[in-house]
Amino acid sequence: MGIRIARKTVHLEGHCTVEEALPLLEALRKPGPHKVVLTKCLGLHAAILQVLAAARPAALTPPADPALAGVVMPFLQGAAEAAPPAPGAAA
Amino acid sequence: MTNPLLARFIPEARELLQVSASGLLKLERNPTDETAINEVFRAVHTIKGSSGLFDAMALTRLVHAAEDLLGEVRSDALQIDSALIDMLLDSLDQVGQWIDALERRAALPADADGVAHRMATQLRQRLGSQDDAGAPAADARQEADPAPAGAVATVPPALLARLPAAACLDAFRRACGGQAVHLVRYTPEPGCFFNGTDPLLTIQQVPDALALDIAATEPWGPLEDLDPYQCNLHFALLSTAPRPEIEQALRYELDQVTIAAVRPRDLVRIDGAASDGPIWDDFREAASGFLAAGRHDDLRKAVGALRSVAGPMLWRRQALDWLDAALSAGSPDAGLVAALVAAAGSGRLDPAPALPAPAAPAPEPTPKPAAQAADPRQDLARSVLASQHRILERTGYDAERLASVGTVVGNVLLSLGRDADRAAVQAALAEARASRSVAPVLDALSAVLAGAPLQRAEAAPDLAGTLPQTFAEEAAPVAAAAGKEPEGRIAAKSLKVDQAKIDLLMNLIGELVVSKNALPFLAKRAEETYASREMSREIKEQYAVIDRLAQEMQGAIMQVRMLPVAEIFDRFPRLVRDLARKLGKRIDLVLEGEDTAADKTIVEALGDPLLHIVRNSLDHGIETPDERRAAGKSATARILLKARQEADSVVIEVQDNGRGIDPARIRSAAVAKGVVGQEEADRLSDQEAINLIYRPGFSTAAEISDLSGRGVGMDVVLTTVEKLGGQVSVSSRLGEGTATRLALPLSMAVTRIMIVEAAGSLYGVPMDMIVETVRVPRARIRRIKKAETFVLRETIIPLLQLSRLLHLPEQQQQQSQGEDDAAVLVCHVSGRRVGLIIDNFREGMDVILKPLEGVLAGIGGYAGTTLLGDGRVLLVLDLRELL
Repeated sequence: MGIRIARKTVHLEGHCTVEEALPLLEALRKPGPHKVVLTKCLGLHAAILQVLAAARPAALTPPADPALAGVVMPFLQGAAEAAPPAPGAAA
Repeated sequence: MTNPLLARFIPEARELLQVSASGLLKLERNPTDETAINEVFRAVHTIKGSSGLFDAMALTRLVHAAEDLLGEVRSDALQIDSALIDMLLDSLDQVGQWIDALERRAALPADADGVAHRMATQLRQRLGSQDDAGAPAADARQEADPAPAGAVATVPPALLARLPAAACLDAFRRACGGQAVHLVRYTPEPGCFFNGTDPLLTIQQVPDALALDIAATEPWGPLEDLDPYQCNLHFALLSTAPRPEIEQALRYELDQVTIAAVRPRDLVRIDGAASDGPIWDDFREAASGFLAAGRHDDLRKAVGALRSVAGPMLWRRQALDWLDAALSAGSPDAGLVAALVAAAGSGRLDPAPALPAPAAPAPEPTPKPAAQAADPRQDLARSVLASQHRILERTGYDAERLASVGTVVGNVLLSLGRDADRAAVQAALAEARASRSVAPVLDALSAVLAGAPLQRAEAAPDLAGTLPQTFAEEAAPVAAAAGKEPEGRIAAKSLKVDQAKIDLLMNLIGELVVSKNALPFLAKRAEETYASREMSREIKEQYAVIDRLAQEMQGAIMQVRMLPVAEIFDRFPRLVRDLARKLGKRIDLVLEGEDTAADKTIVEALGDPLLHIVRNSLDHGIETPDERRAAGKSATARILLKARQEADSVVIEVQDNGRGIDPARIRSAAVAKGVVGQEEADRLSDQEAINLIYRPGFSTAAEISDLSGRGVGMDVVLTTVEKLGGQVSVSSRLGEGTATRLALPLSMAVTRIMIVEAAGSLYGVPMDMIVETVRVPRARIRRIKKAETFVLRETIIPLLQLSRLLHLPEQQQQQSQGEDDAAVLVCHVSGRRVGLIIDNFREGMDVILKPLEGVLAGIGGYAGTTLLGDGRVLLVLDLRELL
C-alpha cells in the first residue's frame, strides 16, 4: 500500500509503483489545496514523480531518506517555482 | 549449450548471415536488384526476430539498425553504395562473431552493448543523412525540445547547479587530468511505462553519478489533460564512471540515451563576491606572460601565492582555485588555462556557463556557440602580440630581444593553432636576423594582428554539427521501416537433419549391402549341398530384387549426403572482393557449375584447398591494373571457379588470366630454397618445374604477405586433396594465366575394390589404383639384378610379389610358380606403375570400408576392412603404404 489519502493530505509511503500514479492523480485533481507527504516514502516510480511535478501540490513534505530527497526534491521544487501562480487544478 | 532454441538459432543465423552477405555483394554490382535487396532484408529481418528470444540485446539492436537501413534502401529512399555495403558487411561480421560467442558461452561478450550502440549509431547516421526533409514526427518533437540537442556536450546550467561546488571542482580536476566526465542524457520513450521501464530507477543505476537533473520534456499542461502513463520526463546526469560501465547500466535504454564526454571548461562554475585591486592586474600581466611563454610551473607558483593571500569567498579567488585545478593536470589545456587566467584577471568568465548573477532560469538556455569559447584567449593573444610589437618598436634591433619575442609570438600562435601565421612570423624573424632590422617582424606582427580573428578553427564546429543530428537520430524511435512487414516467406521444402542420423542410415545401408551379398552364397549352397536347383533359382531371383532395391536405396541416401559445391563457392565473392580491395587489384570473379553436387565430406574438405589456390591467384597470379594495361590486357582480371561432374569424380577448376607461372623462376627459387638440387632442376621439363610448387617449403614470394607466401599453401592443397583420394594438377602459360584442377571422388562412402588371392588368402585392392590386370608368361619375366620386371606395351614395369610384401609363407609362392603364367595386377601408386604378382584375380565389389580401430590401428599397409558375403573379414590393402 503506497498511497494513503486522508482528506486533503496524500501520504506516499514505502515503494510507490506505477499503478499508484492514477489514484494519486485522481486525488490531486480534486479542487482545493493539497498536501503531499513523502516522509515515509522509500522509492518513487517515474510516473508518480511526474504526476507530482505536474500537479504542484500546495505543500510537499520531503522524504526522510536523504538520497531519495536529493534525487526528487530539486525537480519537484523547481517545478513548483517555475509556475507558482497556477496551483494545478485548484483554480 | 543447453537451450534447444539457441541451438537451432545459431546455424540458422549463420545461414541467414551468409545469404545477406552474398545478397549485399549482388547489390553492390547491381544496386537496383530488387530480388537481392528483398532477400537481404528478409534474412536480416529474420535474424532480428529470432534473436529477440535470447539474451542478446546488443545483437538485436545492431541487426535492427541494419534492417532499418535496408528498409530505406528497399523503399528507394536511400541509395546504396560501396561505403554503405562495407558498413553493412562489417555489421554482419560483428553479428557473426557474436553468434560464435553465443555458441561458445551462450552469452555475448561484455563490450557488446557499447559496440552495438556505436555501430548502430553509425548505421543510423546514414539513415538520417539523406532524408532530412521527411524527418519523422519524432524528430520534429525532438527539435522543438526546449533543451536542444546542440547542448549535448555542454552541461545544462540546472544540472551544474545541483552539483556542490567542491564536487564540481573535484570533477573538473579529474577531467583536466584526462579522466573523462560523462554527461548522460536520457529521454525515455513516452510509452515506456507500459513495457515496465521505470526511467527514474534506470537512471539511478548509473554508477559514480555526480549530479542528476530531471526536467519535463514538454511544459505541463492543465492537470485534467495529464496522462500519467505518458512519460514526459528527461534526465541529465554527470558521471565519472568510464563509458562502458555507463552503457552497461543503461544497456536496455541505449536508444534513448546519449553519452558524451564533457569538456572540462563546461564544468567551471565560479561563485563569490566581486573584488578589485592592483594585485589582480599584476597577476593578470604576469600570468599572461608565463602563459604565452608556456611556463606553467611559474604560473602555478604565481597562482599559489595569490591564493594564499586572497579571501576564499572572493569571485576571483575562486577563479584561481579552478585555475589551480586546471594547472594540476600533467599537460594543462592551454585554452582553458588562458580563459581562467583571463577570468581571474578581469573578474568575469567569458562566456559564462554559470554566471554568478542569477541569469534568467531560462526555459531555453541559449546554446552557447562553441566558437565563442575561444574569445578570452583571443583577447589575451591580441594583447600579448600587441605588447611584443610595442617592445620591438621601442628597442629596435637586438638579437636576444628578437629571439625572445620570436619565442613568445610563436607560442601564442601555436596555442591558437595558427600554423600558417606562425610560419610567416618565423620567416620574418629569419629575414630580420639576416638584415639586422626589426622591420620584417613588425610587418608580420601587424599583419597577424590585422588579420582574421585569432581563434582556433578546429574542434568547435564538429560538435555543433554532428552531435545534434546523432542525438536526434538516436532518440527518434525508429518508426520509419518498422511499419513494413516483409512479404510472406515461402516455406522451404527442406528438412534440417542432424548429420549423425544420415551417417547412421549410411552405415545401415552398408550392412544391408553386405548381408545381401550373402544370398548368392546361399543359392550356391542350396544347389550344391541340398541339390535343389529350384530353390537356388528362387533365391537368385529374390536376390536380384533385393539387390536392385538396396542399390537404389544406397543411391538415395548418398544423394542426401550430397551438397552442391555452392556451399563452398559462396564464400568466395566476399573474400575476393575484400582481398582485391586490399591489394588494389580489380577482379571479376565468375562462378560456374555451383549446382554440381558431391559428398558432404568432400565438399567441406575442399574449402581450405580452394581458399589457398584462390589466394595464390589473387596475390601472385593477378597483376595490378597498371601492369595489366602495360601487358595489353584489360585492367580487370578474371578468376573463374568452375565445378563439373566427370564420370565418378567432381572436378573443380580455378582459372585466372594473370601473369602465369614462370618455370625458370620456379626452378631458381626451388634450388635457392633447397627443395631440389641444381642438376635435378635443370633436368625438369617446364611442367615438372611448375609441379614443384607442391613441394613442402616452396615459395617464390620475395616477402611474406598476410595472404600467402609462407610456403605452406600448395603443399597443404596437395596433401588434403590426396587424402580425399583426389588429384591436383596445375597448368600455366606465362603471361596468359594459370589453371589449377582438382579432381575428387563424388562420394567417399562406398569404395570399389577388387578381390585378389595371395598366399591362399583374399585381399581387397582399391579399384582406383588398378590400371589393368594381365597374365604374364613366366618366360617373359626378366631379372634386372635382383629386381624382377616385365615389358608391357614397350614400358618396363617393375614386379613385386604381394605375398613377399605381406611376409607370407614362401611355399605358397613356389606352388604358384609351377604355373605357366603369373597373374599381375598393374597398379598406379604415387605416380609410378608397378606390377604385383598375385595368385589369382577374383571379382570386383562395392564395399563400405571400416578403418582399423583399437589395437589394430597401428598396423600399416591396410586401408581398412570389410565383410564378405559369407561373413569372412576382408583386409583391404593400402598400396601406398605397402610399397
